[in-house]
Amino acid sequence: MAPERGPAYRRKLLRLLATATFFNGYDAFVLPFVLSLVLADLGGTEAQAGLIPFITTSGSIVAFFLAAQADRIGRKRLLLITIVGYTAGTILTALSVSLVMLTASQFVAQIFLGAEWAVAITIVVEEFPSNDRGRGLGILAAMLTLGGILVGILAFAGLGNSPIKWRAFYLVGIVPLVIVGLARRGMHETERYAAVRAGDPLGALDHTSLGEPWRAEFRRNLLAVGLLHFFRFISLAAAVFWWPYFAQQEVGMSVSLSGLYLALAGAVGAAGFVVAGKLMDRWGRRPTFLVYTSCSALFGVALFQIHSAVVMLPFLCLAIFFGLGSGCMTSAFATEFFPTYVRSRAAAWARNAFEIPGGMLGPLIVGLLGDHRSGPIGSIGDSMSVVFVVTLLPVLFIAWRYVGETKGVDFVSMDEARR
Amino acid sequence: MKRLAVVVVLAAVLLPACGGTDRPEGVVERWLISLNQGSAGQPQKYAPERLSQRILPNWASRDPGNLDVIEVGRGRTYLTTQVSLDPEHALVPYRVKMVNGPVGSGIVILHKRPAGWRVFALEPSAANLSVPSKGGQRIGRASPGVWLIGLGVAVALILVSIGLMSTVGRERPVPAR
Repeated sequence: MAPERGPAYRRKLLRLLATATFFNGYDAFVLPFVLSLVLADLGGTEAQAGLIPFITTSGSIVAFFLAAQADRIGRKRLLLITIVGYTAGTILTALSVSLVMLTASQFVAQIFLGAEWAVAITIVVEEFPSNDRGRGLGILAAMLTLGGILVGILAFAGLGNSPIKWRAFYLVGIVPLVIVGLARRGMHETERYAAVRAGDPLGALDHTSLGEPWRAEFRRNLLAVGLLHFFRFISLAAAVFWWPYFAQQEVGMSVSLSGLYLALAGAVGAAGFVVAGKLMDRWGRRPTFLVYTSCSALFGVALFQIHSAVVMLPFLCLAIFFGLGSGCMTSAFATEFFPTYVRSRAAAWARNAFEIPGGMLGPLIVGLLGDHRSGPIGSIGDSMSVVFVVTLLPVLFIAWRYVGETKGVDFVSMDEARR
Repeated sequence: MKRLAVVVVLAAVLLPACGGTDRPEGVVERWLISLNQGSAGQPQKYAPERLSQRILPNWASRDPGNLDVIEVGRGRTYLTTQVSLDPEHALVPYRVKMVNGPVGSGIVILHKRPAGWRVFALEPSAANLSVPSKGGQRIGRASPGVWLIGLGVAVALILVSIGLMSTVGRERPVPAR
């Protein structure tokens, strides 16, 4: 007998996924926040400080191979594996006795975190009715930002001053394992995935090949969505990475004030996900994405041209609202164009093979252009604004010209067309 | 061929701009940031220890993050009675503020050596040199030419995207409810 999957089940499922995603966002902010404390404790140089985040972030690219397994072993099983793996990685990080151990542990944690996001959005897309998917994706995406805010709150509350100092931030990462351990019995495999598996007893569909999303019928959508993810994340990751430096070094804000601004704007910005989720269910994915991306370009350029702390806060709120909020639509693009048997691999390609490399490249480009000593521009603010122009114009063009609309897409028909 | 020519022209314009810049302001900023790293910092790469101690006494035994504000403004080669007329000297304004309140500001004097700029003295603030939050100039800024190049690169990326998309065939509609 098929398990009951009404609104109550979906609410419970969303809470579970939101918890896992919340700590995805949390973990992304912890290392930059505690790195100087780690170096002081374990010993290390500034050069190593630059190398550690680069190595650990590359774990998110390796995550591609893990995330793609959701089409083979199922969404539920992979989600549980990613949460257990992330928890193990974060506990090992907390126990690290050297920089090498810390880097290796975080690399492992990032592999599981990177896979968690792809499988979480796939589960929401498959388990929520078409008129409610946007809201589900919006809530999930908002958790990334709220998780980051928790880092600031815990720091403000003095967690770094506890006897175990920076290690305490990583021990908080045990929470998702406890919650998922309690809630996992009530979670089922997604209905769509189970149906596709049951309807393919002879194994006519390829559930394992990493190249399957590049078949002729999917290739166009995957390339368009991948390019869009890549260009968008160059500017987004660079802005997230460089704004604190810009605020402190070029605007003259204190560390504490810039932290307060980021927490306030992050809270407002999280609403951007929720509003985007509702709008994409009402207007459609593409129109909402075009509006959000246009606004994020406008407010993003303006944000990095402002040199007054007083004027900056509303622009920061709006830039985060639209910039991060557009992530709801990219999550929909990465999953809704593809049939169930290949959906998780398509999401893994979009996220881990296009978006993450863009996220690694963006901060590097802005750093090279804006370096106060050697950069050709010599201003992080101006470099960031130029990068917004350079990357978001192609994003708007690709979305307008090549990305179709997936509002109301019927996965049953899509899956049957593949048989 | 036209697209390739655009890329080549842009590269020819951009690549020379990436080399050869060495601003003394960047050295001052790295020095102050390095001081703020506690034992992980390496301020000796930029300045003698006695000057580091003047900015942040006992910096090596402190926790990271003692300086709540680090701000550096645009400097210049400047002729004073205290500094030789050697154009290889630079004066750079700075401002720091401790987490617990005290503020320090002034001018850093740097000397260009074969390995690059190095801090060699600290002086009190000068009226005509200040940090941006006090009305001074920013260290660098994008010229109108840089903005035009940025627009050109955006157009080039759009052309590359069109080229890539032309290799993957026509659109296939997804089934709608």
